[in-house]
Amino acid sequence: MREFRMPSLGADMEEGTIVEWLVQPGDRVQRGAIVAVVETEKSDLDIEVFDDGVVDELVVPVGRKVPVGTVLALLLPPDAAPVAGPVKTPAAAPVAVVEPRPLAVHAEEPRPHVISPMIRRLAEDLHVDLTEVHPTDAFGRVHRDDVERAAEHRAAPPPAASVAHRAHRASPRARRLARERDIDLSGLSGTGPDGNVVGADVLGAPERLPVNVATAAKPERLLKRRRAIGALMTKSWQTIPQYHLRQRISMEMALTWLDHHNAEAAAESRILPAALLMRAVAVAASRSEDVNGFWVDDHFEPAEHVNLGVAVALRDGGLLTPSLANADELTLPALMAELRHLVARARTGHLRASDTTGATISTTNLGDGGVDEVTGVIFPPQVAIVGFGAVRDEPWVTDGALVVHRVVHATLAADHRVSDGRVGGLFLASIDQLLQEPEAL
Amino acid sequence: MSRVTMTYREACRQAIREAMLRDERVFLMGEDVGAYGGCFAVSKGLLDEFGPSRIRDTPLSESGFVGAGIGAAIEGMRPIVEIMTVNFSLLALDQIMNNAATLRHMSGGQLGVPLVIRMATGAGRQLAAQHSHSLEGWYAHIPGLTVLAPGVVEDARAMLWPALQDPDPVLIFENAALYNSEAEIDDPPPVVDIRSAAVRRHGSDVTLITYGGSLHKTIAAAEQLASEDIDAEVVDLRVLRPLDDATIMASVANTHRVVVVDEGWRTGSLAAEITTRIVEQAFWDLDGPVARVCSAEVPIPYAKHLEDAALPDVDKIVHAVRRTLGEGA
Repeated sequence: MREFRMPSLGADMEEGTIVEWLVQPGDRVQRGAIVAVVETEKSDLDIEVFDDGVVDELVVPVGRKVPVGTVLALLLPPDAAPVAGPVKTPAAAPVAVVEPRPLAVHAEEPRPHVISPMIRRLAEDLHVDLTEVHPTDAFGRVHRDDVERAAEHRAAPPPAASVAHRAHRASPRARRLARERDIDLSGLSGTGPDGNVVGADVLGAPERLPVNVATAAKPERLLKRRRAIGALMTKSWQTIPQYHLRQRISMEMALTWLDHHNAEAAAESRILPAALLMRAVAVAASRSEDVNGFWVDDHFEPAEHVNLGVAVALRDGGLLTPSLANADELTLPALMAELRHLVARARTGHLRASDTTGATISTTNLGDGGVDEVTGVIFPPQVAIVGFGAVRDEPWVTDGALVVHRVVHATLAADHRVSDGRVGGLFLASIDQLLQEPEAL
Repeated sequence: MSRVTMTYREACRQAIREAMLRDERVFLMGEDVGAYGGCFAVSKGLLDEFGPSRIRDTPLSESGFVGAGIGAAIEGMRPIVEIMTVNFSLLALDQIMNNAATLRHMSGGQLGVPLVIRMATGAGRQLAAQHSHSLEGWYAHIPGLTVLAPGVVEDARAMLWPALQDPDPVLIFENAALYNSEAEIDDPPPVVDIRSAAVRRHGSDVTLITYGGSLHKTIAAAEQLASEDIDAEVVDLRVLRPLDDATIMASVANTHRVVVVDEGWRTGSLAAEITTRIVEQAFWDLDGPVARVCSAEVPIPYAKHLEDAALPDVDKIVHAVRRTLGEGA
């Protein structure tokens, strides 16, 4: 058994720290081979072994500082059989342990190559895949020459790989947004300088399918919905000269009739006041051509039927406006049934294509929330929207007497390019009139 | 409230007049401020109005008269000291830095120096290297000073009074290229603070941070960029020390991209300090590296074409913004 001791690597060296062992028990070593890296006060130095032999035991672990002359490892004579059984390595000191480097001499299995940051950078610049570079260094170190040779011998130039690599660069903000949203940056194409990924790319990216769809997918979806609503409403506000009318409508007749109807109806065929209002709007719209249709190419195109748009507030924010096709031809019970289904489809995100196109006029009803009235904003290219607030008990004058009626405030926002206040007024009056004869609806 | 149109020069003069009228402890002192009316004609007419005891011509001795101003301030006066240009202020740097800026601290709060020093700064008038440098960033390095750089007529009119109310020394840098600029401002002037930056133009694509003589160039660049559909926000620092981090970071959080425009030299500059603060405080809001448009690192040349080439201008700012946004340059 021979002892391998901490050498004196300079006249003033008193102690050294093992930074790295380049051999393991069982490795066969020859005199002069580099077996360890030792840190001295001046620098890191490679240390050579002075005898031929087989490593039996590493006595001093990586990270421990020992005086010159301390036994670092034990060597068996070169003719000894490689050690069998459990290898003897020292417990590592609490210092980052570095992977042992392979010793080319009698290395028994391939070990990871040693690659410095500079070499990694060079490989990156030359688009060389380091896993395919074979070091010529006896100790498995990859040198500049190895990388450059690999670059020269590479079969095909990889411009695509280069682009892909570049595309993975992302701005700090993009990284933060991706982290917050659990988005994989490597899947994004960048629109920033040099094709770098910037924040907007992340915000526009589909989200990685999250474990919890409801929470993780929320912000982006809502953001998009908000933007869509914003764009449409801005267009409406900026391009449509809208006029607004309001009319108080007594719901006394309508609700009295409805109460009777519902009292006799099965639960599933009961009718909500909202459906009655919509039915009135649909019928009135079918009789008043100038509020039902589209503004297209600088002129108004009246619609034949009434596809009644319904603003549906979504529970997680935003709204959708699906439509009831041919609402003017639906009986009240049919309209109620369609409305029920439509709202359910809208709220569960299962609207059909036919639900979302072709509204010729819209309604918005915020009565649920308790507001007195709502003045809608027209959905382009439509030309009118009718709004209803809550039905409330209000003072009402009838035949010169002050009584309490259930009253709803109906509003109309209409496109002044198509109709004037008088037309709108007649339209609201028509809705009022229909609601006074509910049985006819 | 009415509106009046005046030049930056007139605004400086009216600010001094107002201070003299409001507070008898205020006096103006400097080279040629009296009979000659000031090197940049800021104090023209003030000698006639206030007399030689309050409008005092001094010898060509920056260290001497700044030191006298410090003494007067300690003794209870409210001096306004005019130094012809920042280049010459270096002769008084010892007084400014070793006395004005330090006495509050070194006396354990016993001595305050409520002194205002005004000086011209900046290039662009073919006055060559000894009259053209922008060294305000050096002063912004010094604890104990407040450093102001009014970039608009309104601030030139309004910042002097709060500066005189400060119990510690305040330096006001008037970019000489601005003296002839003209604007309509409120009369009486608005009350401004000397702690906050001002957003001169709101935008969402990129933040342009600047001050003083570069402000108008930067706004012009922003207008040009607007025609290319690039919506730039312009932050006018107004106060170079202490920097208004909150306004800067709020803007960066909104635009995610920054170009700093600073007539000082790039190395070790105010632009460098601002950039560092953004990296320290708003790194995760950035969509790209912070860019700087600064003066070329040469003594400002005399020759017109060389001087122009050395200074930030609209083209350079526009190019820097395009590069920052990845639009090519």
